[in-house]
Amino acid sequence: MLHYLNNVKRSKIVLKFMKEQYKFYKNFLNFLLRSRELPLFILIIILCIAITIRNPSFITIENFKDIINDIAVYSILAIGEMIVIITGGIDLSIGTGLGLAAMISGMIIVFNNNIPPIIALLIGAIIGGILGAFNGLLIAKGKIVPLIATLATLNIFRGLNVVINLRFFKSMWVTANILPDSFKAFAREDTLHIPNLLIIIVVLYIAFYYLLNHTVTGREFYAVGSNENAARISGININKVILLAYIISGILFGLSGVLYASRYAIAQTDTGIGFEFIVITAVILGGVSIKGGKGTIVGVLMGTILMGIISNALSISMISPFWKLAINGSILLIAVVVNKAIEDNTLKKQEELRRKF
Amino acid sequence: MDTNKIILKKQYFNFRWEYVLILFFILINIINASISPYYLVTENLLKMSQVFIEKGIIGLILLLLVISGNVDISPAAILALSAAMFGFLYDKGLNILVCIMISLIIGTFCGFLNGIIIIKTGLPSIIVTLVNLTFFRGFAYVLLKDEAIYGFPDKFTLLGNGTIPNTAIPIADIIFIVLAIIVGLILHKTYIGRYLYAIGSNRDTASLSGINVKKITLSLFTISGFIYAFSAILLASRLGSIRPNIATGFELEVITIIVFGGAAVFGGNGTIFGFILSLLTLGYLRFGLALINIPGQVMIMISGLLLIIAILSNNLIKMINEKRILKVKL
Repeated sequence: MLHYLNNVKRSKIVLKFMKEQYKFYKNFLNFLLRSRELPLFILIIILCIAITIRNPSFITIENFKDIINDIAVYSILAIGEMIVIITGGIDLSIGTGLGLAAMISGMIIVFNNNIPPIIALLIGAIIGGILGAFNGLLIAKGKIVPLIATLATLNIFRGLNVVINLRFFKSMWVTANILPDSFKAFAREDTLHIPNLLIIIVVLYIAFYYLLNHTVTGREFYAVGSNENAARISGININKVILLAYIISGILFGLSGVLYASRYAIAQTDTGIGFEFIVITAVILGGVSIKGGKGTIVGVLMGTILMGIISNALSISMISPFWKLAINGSILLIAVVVNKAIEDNTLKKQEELRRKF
Repeated sequence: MDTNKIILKKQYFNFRWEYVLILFFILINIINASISPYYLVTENLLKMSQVFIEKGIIGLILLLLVISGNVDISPAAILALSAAMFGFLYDKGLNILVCIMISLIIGTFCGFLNGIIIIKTGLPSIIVTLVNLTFFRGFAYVLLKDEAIYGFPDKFTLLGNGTIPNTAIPIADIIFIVLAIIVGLILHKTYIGRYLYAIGSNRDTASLSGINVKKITLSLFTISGFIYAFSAILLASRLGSIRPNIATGFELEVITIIVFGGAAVFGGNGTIFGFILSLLTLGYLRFGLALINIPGQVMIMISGLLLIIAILSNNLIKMINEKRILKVKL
């Protein structure tokens, strides 16, 4: 009898809690603050309107194709960076890793002209996977802080790029006149009037949407990032998850290295330097918490699109390119601080709710 | 009875990274001396020290930050921004002393900005300085637009290149030594130093024992900004020209020096002795590499590899020491 009463009491409390939560969610402002994709979407639309007023050539299909082609590399990098950040780490080596993968695969293609682009992509992915595994082993097994480890590998990849270039290519760059036409065409042509790059992006985003939201592995990334100890106690192999995150990041920067070499028909020893900041900005803009455990793939996509639009707008509004880095930096700074404020706000609200009972 | 004594003795002999560093230092000097007969000449050694002395000055203040559990990766960017500001104002025709003053103020403000964001938002210092790095470097580009500023008066270039009259000791070295003594005294002989170690080992405990963690963090970052700006002036004076990409990659090298000197990245560990040893070791290692014609980017790769090796071996030493303590307890 007592047990039954207790149950009734409890269910009443639960009901009351749910009602309160309903009220909480009903509040539109709170909803806006909680959902990170909608405000981003609204921001993108407002930006588009503002830019179109300044320069009407912004809102043409040609320009949108340009934007997509420009953000293709960043958007693929952003998936890997997002997964790493979700597990509570950070990967600074994606930029120079991309450069190294572009250089090696570019050289392989120059030496073997008949390689189809798909195989080239596979080669890039394997190279990237190895580099990513190196990062992952240092962090998971060597217990080095991710930021320091990838800061070190950033420079190692760059130096390796120079060494390999010097050793096997007599410090010549991989340029348009020595790359085969079929390879150069791959990232520039359309299939059924849709740019190839767009197809690759869409496929990758759908695949990773499925991986992150509907598979155990995907949920394990979130679990490790939000509370490592809790994840360990619930039987997740932390080292394996972290290693996997860096390998995925590696595979993706390898892929984008090949795409970069194909699209811009060049691979130099300083390719990809500074990409990491653009990608991290996009990821944080997309609402991924820098402390790990939070973030959606849709948000990341929005973040990259926003960065692409801003960059495109800067060039078509004739703003000096020297402002680019400073503007990116300011956006990143504002995004991080606002993100943190929003997180604190929601935490406080949840805490208040919990205190009521 | 005897075995107990041995175990206790073993416990007292704590395996320290500094011993490895001393070996390293001697080894590198022997190798360098065997490569070039001109290496072991006092004047050459002193002249060579000018190349890494700015990193040493940056590293001294960064060491304090690292010990107190903050990693700052924006020193190179703050340095670039204050150098760019200096060059920009000098190009506009201002008095050079005014330029120096303003660039020092800018640097201090950048450091203050780092500190205030860290203590107000509670975000990890690594993230905040990573974000500010792009911001500062970006404004350096805005100021100078890929141009080089040069043609400073002789008196100014003397600061970085000159030596004490009648000796071969560079002026920058003297500045470094004075700073090192001050930092060493603060770190190892005053209560502020103990506070820094306490904050680095456990921020919450330190805060609960009455240490004003926020105030110390903020003042450390502000002072660090001033020191970065100061080394920007030194670097500009030594190089005789300023570009917005000045000091690229400095942050990695300085962090490498600090971690190689035995400081833990998480804080609470590290000595001034280890830092100076590691500065000299890595500085002369670079000199040795330059003697056998290794390109600069490969040198950066080597310092990256060394950083990884240093951290891995530090972790290993920690593990060995912990195991030994466990054995003694058993």
